Amino acid sequence: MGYSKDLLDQLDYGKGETLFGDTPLVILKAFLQSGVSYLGGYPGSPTASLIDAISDSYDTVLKPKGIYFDCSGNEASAASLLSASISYPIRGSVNWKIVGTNVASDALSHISSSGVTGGAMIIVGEDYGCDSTCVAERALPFALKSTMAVIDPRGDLDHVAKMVGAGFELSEYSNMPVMFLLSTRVAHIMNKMQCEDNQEAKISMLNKLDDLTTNLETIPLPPFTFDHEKKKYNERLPAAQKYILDNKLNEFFDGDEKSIGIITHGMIYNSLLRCLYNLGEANLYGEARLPILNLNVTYPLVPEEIILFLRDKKAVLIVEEGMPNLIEEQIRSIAQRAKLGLDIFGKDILPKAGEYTPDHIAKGVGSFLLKNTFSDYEKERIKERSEYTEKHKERAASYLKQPIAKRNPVFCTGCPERPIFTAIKILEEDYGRSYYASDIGCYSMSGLPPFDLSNSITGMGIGLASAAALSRMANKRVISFMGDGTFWHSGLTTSIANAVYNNQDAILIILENFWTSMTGHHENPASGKNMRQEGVGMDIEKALKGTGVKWIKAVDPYDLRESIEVLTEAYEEGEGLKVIISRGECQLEKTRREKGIVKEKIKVGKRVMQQKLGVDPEVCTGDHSCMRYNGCPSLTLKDSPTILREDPVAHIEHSCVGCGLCGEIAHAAVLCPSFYKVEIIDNPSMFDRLGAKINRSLLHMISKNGWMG
Amino acid sequence: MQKKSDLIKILIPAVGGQGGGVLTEWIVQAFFFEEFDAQGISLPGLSQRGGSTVYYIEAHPKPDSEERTIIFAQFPVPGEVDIILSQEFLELGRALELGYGSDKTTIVTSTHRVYSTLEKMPIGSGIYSDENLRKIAAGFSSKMIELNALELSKVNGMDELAVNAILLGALSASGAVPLDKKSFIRSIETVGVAVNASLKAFEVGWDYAHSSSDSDIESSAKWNSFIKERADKLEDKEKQEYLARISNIETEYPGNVREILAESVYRLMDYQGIDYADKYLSEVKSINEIDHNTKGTSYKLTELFAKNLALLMSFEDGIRVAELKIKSDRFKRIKEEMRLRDDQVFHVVDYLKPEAEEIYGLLPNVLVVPVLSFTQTRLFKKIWRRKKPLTMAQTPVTNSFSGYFRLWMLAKMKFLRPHSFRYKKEYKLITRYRESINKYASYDYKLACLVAKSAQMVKGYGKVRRRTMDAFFRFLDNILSPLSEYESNNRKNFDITLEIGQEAYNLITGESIEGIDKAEKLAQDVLEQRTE
Repeated sequence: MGYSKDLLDQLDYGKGETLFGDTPLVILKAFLQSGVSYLGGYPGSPTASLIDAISDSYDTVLKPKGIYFDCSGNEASAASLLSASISYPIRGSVNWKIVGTNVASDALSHISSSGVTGGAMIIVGEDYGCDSTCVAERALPFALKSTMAVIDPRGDLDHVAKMVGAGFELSEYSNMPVMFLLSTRVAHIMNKMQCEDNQEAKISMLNKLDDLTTNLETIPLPPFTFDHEKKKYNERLPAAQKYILDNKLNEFFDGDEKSIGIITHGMIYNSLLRCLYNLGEANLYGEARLPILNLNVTYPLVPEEIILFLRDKKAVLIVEEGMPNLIEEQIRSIAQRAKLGLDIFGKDILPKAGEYTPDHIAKGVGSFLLKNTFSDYEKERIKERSEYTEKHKERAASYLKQPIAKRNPVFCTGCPERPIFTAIKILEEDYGRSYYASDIGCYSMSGLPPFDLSNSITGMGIGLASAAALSRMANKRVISFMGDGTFWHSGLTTSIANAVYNNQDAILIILENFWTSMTGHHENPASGKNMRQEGVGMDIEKALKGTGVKWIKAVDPYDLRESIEVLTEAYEEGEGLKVIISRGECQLEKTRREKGIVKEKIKVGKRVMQQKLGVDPEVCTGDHSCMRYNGCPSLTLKDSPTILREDPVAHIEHSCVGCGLCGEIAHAAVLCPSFYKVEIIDNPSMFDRLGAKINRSLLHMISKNGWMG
Repeated sequence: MQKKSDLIKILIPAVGGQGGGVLTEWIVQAFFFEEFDAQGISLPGLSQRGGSTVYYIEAHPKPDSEERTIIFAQFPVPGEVDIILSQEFLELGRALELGYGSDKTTIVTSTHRVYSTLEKMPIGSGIYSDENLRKIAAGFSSKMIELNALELSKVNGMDELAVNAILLGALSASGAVPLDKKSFIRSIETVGVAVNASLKAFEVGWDYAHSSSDSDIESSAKWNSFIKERADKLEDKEKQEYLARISNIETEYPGNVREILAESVYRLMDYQGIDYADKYLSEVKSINEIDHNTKGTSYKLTELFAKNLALLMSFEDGIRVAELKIKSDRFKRIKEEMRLRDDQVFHVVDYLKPEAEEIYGLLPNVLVVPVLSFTQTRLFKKIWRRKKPLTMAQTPVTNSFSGYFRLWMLAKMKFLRPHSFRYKKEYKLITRYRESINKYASYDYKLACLVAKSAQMVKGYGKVRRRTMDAFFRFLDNILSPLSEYESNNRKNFDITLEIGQEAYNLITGESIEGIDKAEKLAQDVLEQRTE
């Protein structure tokens, strides 16, 4: 979508002004308020819009302030950017989605070993609800093993901004990089934020470093490695704990019922509060009957703070989302060491898996309250309320005999990636199914209906490599898909170099659409420019040749016949790696860009030809074969024009962009004569008009009812 | 403690990528214009590619004191949502199935459907029924305001994304949100996305939700216009013949069959001529006898037979396709659908790719049969090694003289049709169809109806038609025939045949035609179990 100028202008607001926007804009504003010097990251949900905010504001806001923005090649490059903060008082932040942490891990381990001088913050998209292509994993265990502080903010934009500022301070005070978890729902809040003045970056592209220090002690090589380990536990962690305590980063909310309490973290606080509100245990201002300790910093925990909370209580519930439940385990160990004899509940009564929504935790929270309630009346009330939602959900789920039809995501109208899957689907009739190793990108959807072409998704850039053993051990052709973004992210080395090196027998289809589309159209090295809008030319074909790939063919995806021919050739070819580059620009991006241009051309009277596809409803018999090869959102159904046919017929909506695939399919798969293409000419030339006129008069002579076209 | 009603929770179920984010922003901003605190949540990720997604808004009057802040939740809670503002009808159903509706929920929904891939794929109709959606909506709401926002946008000459502003207008008019209309308008202006178009669409939605329009045309008027519409397309002499048949139909058949017959007679006159249509009527008459002789039926068998016989008799051969492709109202329809203006020039390019059989099928039967039997010989297979069927791809510009003329010539071949190879082949199917209905009617009326209905599975062109035809024959031979034989010998009723037959029919039409394999297996398993 992108950020408009009006929205971005708010980034220069000063103290006392109110900004309206979404979480990414608020985080960027908080960066500026913290005097950040450099930013970077690799786009992925739910942090992709943060990259949008950064890149959209680069020219007008960041660059004039001298702030560097690194269009990082992958998460490892982004992470390594933080090295700038190791020896110098430079603040910087990078971001990526949860699984990106795995790609970044080598750099992160080293940087957190060295420690940082300037505040270094990693914004990790904690997508525990898996709203994008990822796995259900938490970032917390990773931070623990590398000794990084972890901030997990409540779902409130002012609070998010405050915690970004506090994060930089904490990082500098403790010399640890800080992980800032941005959960999916928090990442997409739309609300207001109270601004502070921006701070100028101490060191920037405008105010460069003159002296570079050489400090061997910061390099994780013997003999210093173990010094780092000592520092982590003897200096950095205690410093962080002191900072957290002194600045009250965690929040204590008192309540009347002193003998029990709840400890929770981050946005789960919001869910917990709503759950308590629905149980009649709290109001909407966060005033609850029992005291709550909310951890906005989930690592390191501060034993004094925890003990203070646990000390005079009989029982405490820990509401911690996700496994492993490291917060709970640490609190239990703190309580045990302090010899506090209270009951601690957690995952024993709360669900182990699943997002902690207010209704998902209701039963567990209810049963905790029940254990500590003695009035029968109260017990009855809590039981009824905590079970109400569950019962209501069951009633709704079983209300209809036929469950609501599923709706899976689909390739957009006119998508250049779809045709190649159509071609493979058509070829399956002659060649049977192959082993399809998919990868991460829009094309991950090839595994969904109508194509069902995916046997594995293993991670980013790994698809082809993941089939290495099977290429030699299965009597199946191996076909792998990879987008251009993924190619440059890591596919070139992890998959292609590996395949050439091992002489892997497989077909790799590179879908070059010139954008990283799935995350919301980010430039990638194939785009011809970077996210700072500076031109760069990187060539996939040359890179392939450089690694020694011999069999490379390029196809135009909209020419289905060509694609089928080239695929057949690859199917029939002998052993080795065969690479097909299917080259067509992302239709969404292309349409967005060209829409205005076409409009303008028509306006000034230039001849413009556009095309759209259609289906003759009388010719279509409604067997829907075309749907099973396509899945285009614009190709849909409508009632047959004749009342004799009970089933609906195919129909193409006005949103059609005229890619022509459906017509090509009707040809290539020999389906039916229902499809037609209309070429529409605006501002027709003399020649066009003359031709149309001659046709019209000739047609008048033979058509019975007179020519109406 | 606050009143529960102070907190307003709005859930927006939507199809990804249809502008739900802007709709959410409009509502959040509107709350800010009137002493409310509010929070909007959108869900990004893969669902934005046309998957199902939701947006969620919470709002609360500003607290009295500066020190207190509202703790908003980021997740809607089932049973606790006040307003469901649904961008699409199936997504409303999904939200309700997940429990978000309750007896305190007001629903404002568009009733238009964006079909999901899984609904589009089956060979029969996979469309989820609106009736079910209405049922669950009635069960989990206190009030429902429905409008077809997509239709409204089209009628008012707007693009599809206007659906959002139309819904916003309806939400404002519904009074479910305690905000002034002016705040919504100001919000549209502030957010700044397609401001003028959105304001117009907002008013359309607002007006619609304020007035209700009932336009039930009387049934006799409907019938008359139904006939007129068809008769007007015929030339004078044919028109008289057509109207004569209609008056017969009016006296001989009940209401529910009349429209089908009127449509069929028109279709077959257009297809081949009046004699052909009369042939159809006499066939229908013979099956109608069965209905006559069965007490208390609703002429269901006649209805099903009449529908499918007309479709089978107007099988789509090259001549038919050519005729449909050059019909004058076709180009008129295209111009309307594509929203073409008179100052634009347009070319209609058709994708035609008949298979060999579709071409030689037009030739007289006497010529084709000997050649075909030659192609089955070993000698021929030695000369002709190609495995793939021959096809003839062409893309004529149908509104140019050369393209039109080719199709026009083909359409003129109509007189050859009754002697063609294809005609003979299709007639074998039709005969088999009629005979089967007669046979099963003697067993059981419902069974005859199932057979009559099952001809709907025969459709498509070329190989698809061959496969569906094959599936139909297999359905009769390998499923209904053995099951009914077993039951007529061993039992007094045909419950098993009916149940398994229906199940088999669903398997075949519920996904791809390959479902026939599963269906056969099912029938076989049932029989084996029974006879053991």
